[in-house]
Amino acid sequence: MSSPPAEQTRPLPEGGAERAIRSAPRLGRPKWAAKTKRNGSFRLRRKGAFGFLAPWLLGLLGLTALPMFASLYLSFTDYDLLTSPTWVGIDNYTRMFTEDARYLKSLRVTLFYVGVSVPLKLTAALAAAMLLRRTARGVGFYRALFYLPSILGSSVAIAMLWRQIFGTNGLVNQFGGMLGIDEVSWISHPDYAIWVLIALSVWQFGTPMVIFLAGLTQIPEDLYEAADVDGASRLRKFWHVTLPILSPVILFNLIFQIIISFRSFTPAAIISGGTGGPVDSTLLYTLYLYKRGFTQFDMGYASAMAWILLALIAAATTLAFKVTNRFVFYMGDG
Amino acid sequence: MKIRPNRRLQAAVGRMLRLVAASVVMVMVLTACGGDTGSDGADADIASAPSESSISEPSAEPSIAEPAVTKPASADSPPASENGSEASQAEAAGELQVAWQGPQERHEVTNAALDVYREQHPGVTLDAQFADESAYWQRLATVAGGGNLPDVFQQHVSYISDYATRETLYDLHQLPEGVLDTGSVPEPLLQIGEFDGQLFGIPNGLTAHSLHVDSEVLADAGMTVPEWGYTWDDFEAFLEELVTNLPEGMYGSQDFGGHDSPLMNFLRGRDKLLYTPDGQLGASEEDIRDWFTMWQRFREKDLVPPCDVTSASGFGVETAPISQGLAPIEYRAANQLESAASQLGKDLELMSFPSDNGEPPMYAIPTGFWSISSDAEDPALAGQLINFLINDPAAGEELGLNRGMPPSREVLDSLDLSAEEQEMIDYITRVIEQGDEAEQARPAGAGAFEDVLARAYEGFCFGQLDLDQAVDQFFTEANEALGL
Repeated sequence: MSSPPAEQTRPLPEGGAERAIRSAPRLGRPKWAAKTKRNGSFRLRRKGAFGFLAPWLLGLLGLTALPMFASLYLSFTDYDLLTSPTWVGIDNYTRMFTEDARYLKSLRVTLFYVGVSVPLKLTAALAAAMLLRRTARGVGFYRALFYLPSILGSSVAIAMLWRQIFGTNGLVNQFGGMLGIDEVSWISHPDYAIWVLIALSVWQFGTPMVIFLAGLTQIPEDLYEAADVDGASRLRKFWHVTLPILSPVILFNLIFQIIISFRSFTPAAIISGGTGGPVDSTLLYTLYLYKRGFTQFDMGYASAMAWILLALIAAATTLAFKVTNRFVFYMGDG
Repeated sequence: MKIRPNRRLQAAVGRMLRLVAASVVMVMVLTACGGDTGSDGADADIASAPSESSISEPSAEPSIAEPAVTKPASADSPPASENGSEASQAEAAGELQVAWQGPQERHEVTNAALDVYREQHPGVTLDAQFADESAYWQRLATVAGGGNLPDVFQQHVSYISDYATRETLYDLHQLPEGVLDTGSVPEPLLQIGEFDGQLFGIPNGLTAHSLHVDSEVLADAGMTVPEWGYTWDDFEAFLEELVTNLPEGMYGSQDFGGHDSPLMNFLRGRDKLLYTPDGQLGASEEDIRDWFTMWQRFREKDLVPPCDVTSASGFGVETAPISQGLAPIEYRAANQLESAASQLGKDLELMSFPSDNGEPPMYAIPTGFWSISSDAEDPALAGQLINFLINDPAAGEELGLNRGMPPSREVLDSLDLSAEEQEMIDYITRVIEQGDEAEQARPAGAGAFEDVLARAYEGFCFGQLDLDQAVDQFFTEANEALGL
């Protein structure tokens, strides 16, 4: 994380850089403070602390950390779930990128899905938050209403509903027919199927919306009044006041939604019936991982895919941080 | 000399460590949280989720109904049978886990049959686990990985090789004398469950591929089902004539070019097998080309529906062309005639497959196998149960024709059959009597093969791949799946 912009413009105090460094806050314990006595009561408190932490710690180690490392080990093996794994080194990783056309297709599909659905989702969330930030009567009802899809959205039931709605005889075609739109099976056409998934993702803009709402309420009113005095139009107020102050929230939502999107599985699986859609048009990364691991008995390969996904998400997150750093303004500084 | 600590460096390292720690914690928390809602694992097992794209034959295509694989309710291995493994028929005692897959009706009839067994053998506790097509195979794979396979479970010709070659199945030849009577099953079919002389599964029902025809629509068009032994050219001519006599907007037949069973029949009409006995691909490039171009021609002449319609309808009974009123002919296994007819409320009849050499290419196939897990506590008891299910007329009475034609003649004779059921039996019997060599169990890796044809076919159909690319993709992926 690079330093906030304000630091770069602070002038150095007298005495130059050395004096600044020496007078900077020290890390660790100040000299005049007593060392913590490691006596009996300390030990008891420490035991107590560990005692309370133990259940969570066991869960973290046993259910999260251990499987993660097991999966790391398995990614270097050939494991078919039924017999013992055999070591193959980085074979799985090389196969992924050199021999597996389907893998590259799933990567393309996933990147497209993330790249389109996240901006759309955030735009919708911000727009809705802007509209709902007033305190008029009934606005709470609408906030809850818009938030509802994101609670239900990732479930199997909703995905099946969408499959029905966008299917050949679904609602969309029935109403679309009345409006003169061609009746296509939206989920079975390679050009349109991915957009059904994207629509499902964007429909769940409730969570980022609520976070934006919280961020919007933090903007001091006097900034807007100052802008009014200067004669700013609504658009300029938005661009010059709202967005900059909201930028940390936007960054947070961006990172969060990127991570969620990369991990999306249920909609792709249900809407395509587990096949990845016509001509693999909805073969998201996680879906392909699942197929490889559980239907093709290729667990080692699937584990390798999982770790590459982790690397991918980390890269995307870092990229997001780096790229938006120039635009993010933390209100506490300078 | 004491080196002065570099505060800037320390601060920078501290910042970076905090950043890494924060990222790791964030990733782990988000991983554990599972997204906006309980998207992973919170959903209950959907036992009857519609698997619309699964093929109608007790299928080779697991379409995913639920992503979170839950272990079966009693996942602990059954406790050792207390009375030892040499119980006689009447004194059999112990605990068995039985599992199978299929539609709801199958669960009902199988449970009824198991109830009869429970009455006959009060000392035996049966724990029945069942699921629909899609959920079953995913669950089975995971459960197998955990070493918790049920004692008796249903296998399928597409998957039995995967399990047999990985030492998860018990050799039925090892059962004590007299426990399991395999004589009721025709020899060529019994051999399908054999690998290197070891018998890993015994067929529990027989069927054959067929085309289901909507009798009423055909009669309205003034045509009748062709006799056995016609060619693909005859089929094309038949469809052409059919389409002219059908109302506007109807096609002649379902487009079943993307399904591997019709392809297998096509190849048999050319005296080839899709999977040779030594696990190779028996189809040549020219065969696949011919297959793809033939269906393209059908589509161009409007004999079969266009790509997206076919892709949307799949092969399930409720979504396929007959039920949608799109076409009167569709591909399905013969044993499903009666259930499909009652589900759709239509009159259906059976039509044979065309072939290039003019001889009916169909062959008898097991709808499923009963297998015993290699971890079973009491294989003899398990074998006894299987013997009951296959050879006992009391079981046959409950099971009926749900899994196809019962292999045992005795059971078959004891059943009262409706007209449609009799038609089914006649068809299957005729296929068996033709004596064609039964197709071997799909080789290990057939699970990976499941949609290789479908994807290459769809790619070509939608125009995303040209013919050469589609054929190329098919062979590359098929060979990869078979480990060649």
